[in-house]
Amino acid sequence: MGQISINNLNHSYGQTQVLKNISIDFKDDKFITVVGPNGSGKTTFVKKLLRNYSLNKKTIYLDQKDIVTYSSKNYATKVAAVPQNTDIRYDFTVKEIVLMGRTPYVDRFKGETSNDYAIVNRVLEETDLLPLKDRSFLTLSGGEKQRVIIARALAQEPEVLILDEPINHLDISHKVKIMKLIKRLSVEKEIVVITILHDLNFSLKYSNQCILLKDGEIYNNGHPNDVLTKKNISDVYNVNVEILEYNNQEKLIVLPIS
Amino acid sequence: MITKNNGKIIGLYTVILFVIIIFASTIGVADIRFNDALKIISSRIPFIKQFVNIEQMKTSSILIVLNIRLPRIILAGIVGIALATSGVVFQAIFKNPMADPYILGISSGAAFGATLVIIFGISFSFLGLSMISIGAFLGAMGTTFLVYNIARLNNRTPVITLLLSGIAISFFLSAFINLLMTMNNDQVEKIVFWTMGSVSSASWKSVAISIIPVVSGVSIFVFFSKELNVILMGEETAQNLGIDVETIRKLLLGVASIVSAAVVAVSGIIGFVGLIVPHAMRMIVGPDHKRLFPYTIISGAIFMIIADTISRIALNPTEIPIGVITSLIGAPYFIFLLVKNKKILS
Repeated sequence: MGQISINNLNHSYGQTQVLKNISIDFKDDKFITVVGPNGSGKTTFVKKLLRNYSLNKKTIYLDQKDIVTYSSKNYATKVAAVPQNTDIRYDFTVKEIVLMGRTPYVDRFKGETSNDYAIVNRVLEETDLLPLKDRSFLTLSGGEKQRVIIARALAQEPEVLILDEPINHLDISHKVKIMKLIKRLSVEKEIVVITILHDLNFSLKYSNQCILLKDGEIYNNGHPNDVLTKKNISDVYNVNVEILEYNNQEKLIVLPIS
Repeated sequence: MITKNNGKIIGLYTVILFVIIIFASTIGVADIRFNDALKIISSRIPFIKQFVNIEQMKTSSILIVLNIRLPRIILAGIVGIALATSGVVFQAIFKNPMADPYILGISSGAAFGATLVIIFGISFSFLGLSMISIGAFLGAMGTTFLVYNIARLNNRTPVITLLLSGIAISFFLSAFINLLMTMNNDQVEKIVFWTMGSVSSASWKSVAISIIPVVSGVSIFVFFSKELNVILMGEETAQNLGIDVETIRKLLLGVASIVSAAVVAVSGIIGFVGLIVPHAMRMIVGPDHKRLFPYTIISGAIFMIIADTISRIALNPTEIPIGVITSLIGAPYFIFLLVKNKKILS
């Protein structure tokens, strides 16, 4: 379940090719991070997976089935997204927004069933949002908003959860909290997580597969310990880092400021 | 924000609309008492009419209420409902607070169509519709179609291109109308009065003709309430939640354009209703379209009926164009709501 296989994926904005011949299979890896410098094609890559951009046939397969052959509704029950920009300017409550995650399941004539409400309650609990369920989304902090959007994605009961920089503008305590939440969900609910990250240390800490992109191509791919090496980081990001080991060979990338 | 007892409040609000309709039908040169108007109107409502006896009432009162005032009040209500609900749809689809039913060039297209008919003096009627109405409707629909196709790119219509092509075509047509008016001085008054909007030529026939597209169109809007809520979350999020955004947008823009064009054709260009009623209602009941539509429907009707009543009595016997009234009473109320909600909005 949730197996993705990509075969020769390309994308261009006008004359500029931003994804070049990307082919990759996600086997049993449950937590995949996509890293790379700005403009390396990370967001385009995940938007292709989400079918937000037009896609050729026989390029991306989910569970051995070409994703362009899924109906919009059916695909939304398999793959959910937490987008980069989670700004909502309308005054909906937390519960109302999470309930929207049930959209692909709700029959137009029957409306939401008790099952839908039960699932919403469960994901609110899983994301620690029960006390906030009747609050207006507009009044929440950045970390709380991010949790609401994750809860909405979970309400879709997806096999694959795709996140675009979910911890980008959060403080370190919320960064850890969100990453732990996503990790826990991927383990407990066996959801395949594919997330773009800027902070390479989180990729080392949480993921079991890391895709390093450079100029729209996969520069390296594998276990983060093997991918995020001094040499690769220097080649791709053009900075020299030190890699420290601590606690039982856990790795930490540090950037000496010179 | 109103969230509880939704059904009861809407029921009460509907009663208020009914009282306003009866009250509006008592106002005018001929003096008709509230009770009499209530009886006359009730005598035409199925199930209730068997309990009402209007035999000893003056025939003139009955005629004035039923054949002169009531069609005009009902038409004003229909126009209000059509513009206010289309406004909700346009604002949701464009996610733009400045959007209103006229944003894709319906107003300038209708004015252009009406101007051509007036200048060329084409006068014949079809199904009881004047040629001006038909010209306005065709002008409005043609313009919307043109704007949509200018903006279309590889089967997608980026919102910003759609808005800008709407503005460009509107300016072009307005300039053309001004040119035509300069060349046809004698028709200027007629054209200007048409564009300012009025429901004074209302008859049961015009009510019957406009009610069909409005009722079916508004039913379609309500039917898509859930999708509109999700579209407010952003186009890509809506896609990721399994909604076919491009198809729904095309459908709802098409329906909203037909609904607006249908009432513009019979009433001229009545501004502000489609912009502020949706905003005012969103401030009061929140953005959820399942709640927003019922309140917008009733408020749009009440707002237009009051505006039309004022327009026909304030400077009696001269009628003030209804667009003047909608802006004169609508703008201050809207500013009041803005100031009250300033903290929440910012």
